[in-house]
This record gives sequence, C-alpha cells and structure tokens, in this order.
Amino acid sequence: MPGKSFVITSGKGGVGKTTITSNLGTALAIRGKKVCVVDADIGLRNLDVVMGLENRVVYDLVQVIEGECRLRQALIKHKRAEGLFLLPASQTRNKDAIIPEQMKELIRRLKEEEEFEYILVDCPAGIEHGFKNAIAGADDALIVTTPEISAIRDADRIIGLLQAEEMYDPKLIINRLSLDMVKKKDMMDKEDIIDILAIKLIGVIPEDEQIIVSTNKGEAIVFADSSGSASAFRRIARRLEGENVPIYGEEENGGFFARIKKLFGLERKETNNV
Amino acid sequence: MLIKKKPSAVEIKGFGEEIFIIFNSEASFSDIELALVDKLYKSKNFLVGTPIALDIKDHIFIYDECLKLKEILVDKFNLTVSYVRSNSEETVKNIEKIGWTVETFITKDDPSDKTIIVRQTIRGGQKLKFAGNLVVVGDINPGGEVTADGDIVVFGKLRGIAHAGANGNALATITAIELIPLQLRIAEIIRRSPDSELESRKVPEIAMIKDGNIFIEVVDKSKRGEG
Repeated sequence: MPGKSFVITSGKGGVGKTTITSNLGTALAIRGKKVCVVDADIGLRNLDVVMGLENRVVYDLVQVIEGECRLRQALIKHKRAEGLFLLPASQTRNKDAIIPEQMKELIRRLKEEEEFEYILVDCPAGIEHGFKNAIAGADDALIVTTPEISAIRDADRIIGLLQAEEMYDPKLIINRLSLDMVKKKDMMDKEDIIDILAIKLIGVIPEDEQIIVSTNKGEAIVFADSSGSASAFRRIARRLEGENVPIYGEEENGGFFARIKKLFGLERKETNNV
Repeated sequence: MLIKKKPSAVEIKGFGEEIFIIFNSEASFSDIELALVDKLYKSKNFLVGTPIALDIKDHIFIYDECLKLKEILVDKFNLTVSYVRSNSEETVKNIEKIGWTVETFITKDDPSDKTIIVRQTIRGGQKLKFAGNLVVVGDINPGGEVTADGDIVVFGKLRGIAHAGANGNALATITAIELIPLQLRIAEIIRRSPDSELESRKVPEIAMIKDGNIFIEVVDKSKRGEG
C-alpha cells in the first residue's frame, strides 16, 4: 500500500501544529508504522527543537530539493521511536526557496523511494507561499484549531483555501480544550466549533500542562502513559488508521454510551492498551 | 435588385412546428418592408393557413411601422400571426396596440430573473456573486460574502455578509434558516449586527427594506398571502 501524506495546518499561529505533528508522528511510529515528519516552516524551523533532534540536523529540506545532498542523508532518525524520521526545514533560507511542484516531488520520493507509510507535513502559519508549499504534496489535511474565535475563523478560511486546491475532506483536530471551562460555559464546546467548520472531527486534545513540560524537554508526550493529551494523540493515530475510537470528552461527559460502558466495566480501558 | 443584395433583412425559418419570420437587427424598416413583401410573395403558397411567429429582435418600431407590418402580413398576404418576439419595450407596447400577442424576451434574458443554486458552504475569505437570485444550500460563515442582484436565500446559517439587490433593487430580500449575519445589505442600505453577541432565534427569518431601513422578521407562513 502506498504511503499517505497529511498536512497539519491551521492558518493561525500558536495553536499547536508543531506539537501535534511531533506527537502524532510519534504515536504512529509507536504503533509500528514508518513515519516521516516534514518541517515545511522554512526559515523558522522548530519541529526539530520540539522533537529534541536539533543537534542532529546537518542537511535540510531545501538542500535535498536543490540536490546538495541525498534524501536519505537529510532524514534524521528519532532517538526513541523506531521508524520515526524527521526531515528538517532550513534555518537560513526563506520560504521562497522552493515551489509547490518541488514539494510534490519530494513527498512522492518519501513515499516511493523511502517507503514511508505516513508523511506528516508541519505547515507554517499564514496563507502565503509557505502554506502553498506545505499543502502541495499532501493527500489530506488535518486542520488544527483551538476553542478561540480567531483560531476558528482562520481554520474556516484555510478549509476554503484547501477546497480551491481540491482538498475537499480535511479532518479537524481541536487542541487545548478544557472540559471544566466548557462545563462552566466559559469556553466553546466542540459542537459549537464543528457547527461552524462543518468538517469531520478526528480528535480533541485536552488542555494539558504536561505538554509544555515535555515539549520544552524535546520529548513527545505520547511516551507518558498517564497524560490525558497523550491518550488523545494515540487515539488520533488509531483513527488515522481507520479504527473507530471515541472522541476525548465523550465518555467523561457521562453520555449514554459512557454510562452503558461503565455498567459493563468497559470505561476508559481502550485508552491505556495502546 | 436591391433586395437581393441584402437578403438577410428578413428570414423565414421553421423551428419544429413553428414558422418564424426573423428580422435582421441591422436592417432598416424600409429594407425589412421590401424584403418581407418579396419573401412572402415567393413562399405565400405554403405559408397560408399556418400561424406565423415574428422575431423582431432589437428593432424599435413605432406604432405606424407596426401597423404597416400588420397590413402586409394580415391584409395583403392573409397570414395569421400567432405571437411576436421582441427585445424592445417600446416595440412591445406598439405591437400590443395593434392587437398581436407578445412573447417578450426582456424578462427572459434579464439575469435578475435567473436563479442559481449553490450547494456549498461559503467560508471566510470566499466571495460569491451572481447577477440574479441566489440560493445557497449550506452555511455562509463569518468573513464569507454573497452578493446578488436579486434575492438571496440561504438554506443554512447566514453568519457572514449578504448583499441582495446589489444593482439597486430595493425590493430584494434576504432569507435564511438562521439569520445571524455580521452585516446585511439590500440595495444601498447597510445594517450591521448589534455589538452584543447575536443569538440565533433558530427560526427562518427574512430581511427586507421598510421605510428606508432593513427590517428582519420571522418567515411566517400565515402571513404569506398578504404580500
């Protein structure tokens, strides 16, 4: 089966694209997949930092595209997760260094030559050149938003732009949702967000202080079994693979199914058996 | 002969079961008159008894000219005119005065009479414009904009901007299943949403101009007959 490429995009900056790319890539790799995470934020690279691989960067994406090095040379193997590789962005070049056609070719080579099963492209914020490059080789898009009105507006705009590029079925990831605040009506609930964006929800990641700690250490939170966000990432990974897993917050909400599951002693088991 | 040099002043054509006499837009009335007489002479045998339709195109004919046409067709050649097609309001009036039925093209070709249905969510940054009536089956999200010369109907939530009657038609209306827009515009009138958060009333509503302002009311089936 040929590999699948996803672009992780949001429009707005600071909503967690890089953290999600890193953790989702790690979660897929833990499941035994061969994964490449690509930093398309040329000039402002930080996926390597978040993944704790900064000191290993020798060659970058622009150098691969310009033929200064081989593709294999630029791929950085992850420290802990078997099968996880990073293709870092260039720190010194700017976003105009490459064009969408080159990006398409690069993704094709990652699929065919390197036989990656999943390719996750971390998209820069904004809707300009860098965005167009990042989405160029993607088969599908994961839209990241937080429960904030400005992030949702930008996500909506991005979905429209993706349509123009003939990507009609992006999936939604809601990041930093606080169930407590939702309960107090201080935060938009996922239903409110889906109501506006009208795309398929593939994951909800709870607000989690642990994520800041692990990100700063350059570790993926998915290695921490106890964290709520770790379980959310693992579930998104499973959903990407076509499994049917409940969305975060749905069993905690005490919904009908949750109660049934509690009755039968099934609650929350699926979160820990990854 | 002069007529032979301008053979296209008048054409007789059959479309299905109908026979049309088509007037060349370029030709003058006297050319048409001459050509008409000439052509009818040549084909009067098979035209008699068949109702004829006239396609006058863009010609503007005064009353006397229309009378003249009637004289030729009806009195001289004994033909029956089933109806007349014309693009000119002036001609239509005069044709009606002499008692012929008019099938005008004015309303038919007027784009403000046309309607398109768009099955799509209009998202932020997207704009949709149409020179007629616009039906959107989907939502119009904040930052999205739809413009129509005629009416706008949204089978969904209107959260963005809608501009009906964009060519100045103050009778245009905007209807939505949920009307929670940032801004409504009808013709030249603009109404923005209140600064406090707009709560959806979750009932279909219609916006229209009344006394120089945009009014919004619930689409009420029981009031339908009044308009």
